[in-house]
Amino acid sequence: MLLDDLDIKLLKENFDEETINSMDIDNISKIYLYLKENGIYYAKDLIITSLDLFLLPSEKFIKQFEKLKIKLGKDYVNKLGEDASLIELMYD
Amino acid sequence: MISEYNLKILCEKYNISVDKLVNKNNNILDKGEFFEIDKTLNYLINDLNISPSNIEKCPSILYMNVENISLNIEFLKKEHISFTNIETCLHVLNTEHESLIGTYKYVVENYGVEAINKITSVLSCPKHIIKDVEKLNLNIDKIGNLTISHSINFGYTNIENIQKMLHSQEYYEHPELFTSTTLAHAKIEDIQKMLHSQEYREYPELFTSQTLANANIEDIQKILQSKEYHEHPELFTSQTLAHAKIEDIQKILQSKEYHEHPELFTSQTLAHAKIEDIQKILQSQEYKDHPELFTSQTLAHAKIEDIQKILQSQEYKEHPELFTSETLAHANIEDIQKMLQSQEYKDHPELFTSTTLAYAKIEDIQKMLHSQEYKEHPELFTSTTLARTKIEDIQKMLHSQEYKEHPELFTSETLAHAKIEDIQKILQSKEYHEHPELFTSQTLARAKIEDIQKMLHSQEYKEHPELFTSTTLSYTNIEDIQKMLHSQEYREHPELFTSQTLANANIEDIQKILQSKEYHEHPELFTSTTLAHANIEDIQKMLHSQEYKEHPELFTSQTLAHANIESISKLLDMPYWKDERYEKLLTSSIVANAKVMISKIPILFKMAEEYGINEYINVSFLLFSPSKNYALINYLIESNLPLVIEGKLNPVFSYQPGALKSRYGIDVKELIKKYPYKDNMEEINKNVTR
Repeated sequence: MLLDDLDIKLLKENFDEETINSMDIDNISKIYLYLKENGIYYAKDLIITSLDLFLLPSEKFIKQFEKLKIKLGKDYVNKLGEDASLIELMYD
Repeated sequence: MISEYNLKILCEKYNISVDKLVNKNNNILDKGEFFEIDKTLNYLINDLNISPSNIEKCPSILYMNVENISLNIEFLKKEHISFTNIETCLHVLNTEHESLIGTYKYVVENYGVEAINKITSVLSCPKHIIKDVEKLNLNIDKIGNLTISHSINFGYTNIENIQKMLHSQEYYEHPELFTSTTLAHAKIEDIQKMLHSQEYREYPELFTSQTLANANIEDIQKILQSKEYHEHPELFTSQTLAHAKIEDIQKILQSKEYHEHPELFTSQTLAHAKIEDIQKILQSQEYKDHPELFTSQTLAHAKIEDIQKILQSQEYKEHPELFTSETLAHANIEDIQKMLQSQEYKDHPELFTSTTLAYAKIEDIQKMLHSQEYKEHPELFTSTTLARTKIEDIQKMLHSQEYKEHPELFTSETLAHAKIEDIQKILQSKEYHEHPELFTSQTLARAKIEDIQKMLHSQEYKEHPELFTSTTLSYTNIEDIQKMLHSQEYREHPELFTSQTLANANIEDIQKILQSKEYHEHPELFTSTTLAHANIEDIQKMLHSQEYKEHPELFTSQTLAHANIESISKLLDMPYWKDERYEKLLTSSIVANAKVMISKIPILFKMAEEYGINEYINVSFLLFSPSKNYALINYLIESNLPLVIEGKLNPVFSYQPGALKSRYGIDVKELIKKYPYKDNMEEINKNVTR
């Protein structure tokens, strides 16, 4: 997973410098891999809109995402892809 | 000879402080001549635009003959030596012209031109001194020879002193304490007293090469035996010992200002500031009007006169967003004006942030943006690169064998924070070859091989390898990790300690958090992320705020970890939420990112208003970037597709870009390139700021 210049530009529009500087490459890679394994083909888009969630330890993120899957049901991949605001369910 | 009265008349003519001149060097009264000083000042200020404050720092320039100064300036300009460097060490211009040329040529030939830009003062040193120092074959950075030569030239030390130091038992036992600064400034007798003292045996961590170079044992003893040290040990570091005197510290800690604003006083303040300057700052109108611009850093490094000049400037009025407490602490208005009037700023405003203003010089930025390296790799140059590094270091890095072999390890962060010599040591190490997965561009940018080695050979790494990631290696050190993993808190709550906690937090802050009333009342709000990123003072402010009492549902562990009450308060005060159409848009994710939302939301509302869709804004629209929303609006308009469908925003606005491409073949990235939002965003930003 590589962020290109445009991704970085969008990230900077969405998050403050302190949050961006807190990115832990290993942790984000683990989450990214987990999301890909769960069919979230737009995982990189999630990083750009919800970077703060990717700063959670991967285990915690996975736990929260599993809860979100249950709330959204079987079609969670499409639902989350079509309505970015559903990510709100990850905040507790 | 010139009388103080006549000197005062001249100083008034050129807007220079006579007190500062005479206090700095009263030889000017004995050696200066009225007409010579007048001629020199006229040349420096009117012809060369050198700022009065730089002249005040170097009075000796005023009793040297002006023709010699002129010859030296012409020569250095011809050789493209950065004039900022000369401005801040004007005494080099006093050097006899032939000697300056000789030294210049010798240094360029043997050390490279960048050495002159780093230690411009060396130009005042005859080249035979440099050669004498070189004969000592010192085990230091080559450029250290120049620091020492300069020090000998100024009479701070001599060759015999340095030789004594090199033959001492202390040097054999603690070579790491003898840097070029120690060799340039200290005497072996003083160092011996220091290293054989009871204080050194008890607090070796307080003695660094800086302490050896700048302090003496009598002053250190007074400090360590003082009531102040015993009551506030956290305010005393090796820096305090190296730079402060107990009398000044006592005045500070007994002051009304310290008792009223203890949060503004850190070990740095004690090390570098004087109470008289602090009082002037805290009693000023500027402090009353903009308290947010004054931090402990400001108190430690700035003077009220400089702050006043900055806050009264046209530049501050036009670009307040570029001025933070960091800018006030480290920059001066003359440099800021040069920067904001430059062509480079006009062409690349995105590369200039408050950090650039705080730390960079326009001459260095110009060299960088006109370099071949910038033309070939613009993506490696960010505002941080401009603020933190010099083109010479970047050139070394991008022409290195290491860059050719591992370009993926070199990002703008690496360029901004690392040196090629350190990177080479890392990539040649056994540790890199055994654990390449632990080495990322971040590690290269932030860590030193010695620290990495200590970490990877520690017992803690053997027992908890899962807690050590490339981020741990990049941001922390083994001593802090050991404190954390041997703490009571770790034994009781191991689930709160992750590699992130180790990388970003320290045990003292964690202890404060876990012992707090707030943690015991709301444990569900505290996760390892909170421990890694937040501090108890911010959390307490947040949980005792009116905002929390009125909207507890908006505060999650994410809010505690990433937001602060000041930005949350600004966010909740925005007029939008008073409108019932928008109140449902105020969600936890918006509040958790309050820091950026307070500037992003007005931009998005303004954009929505411009296109008549403000009534239909939803949470997704606020989560996405202005660039993405702008591109989609323009795409829909150009394709004759509606922005609003059945009283709701067109669903495409809620799609993640990947899903949009997969479902409708719409490539958001291409749209962003086709409909760039940059210019409009700057315009809106200006309006928002004003």
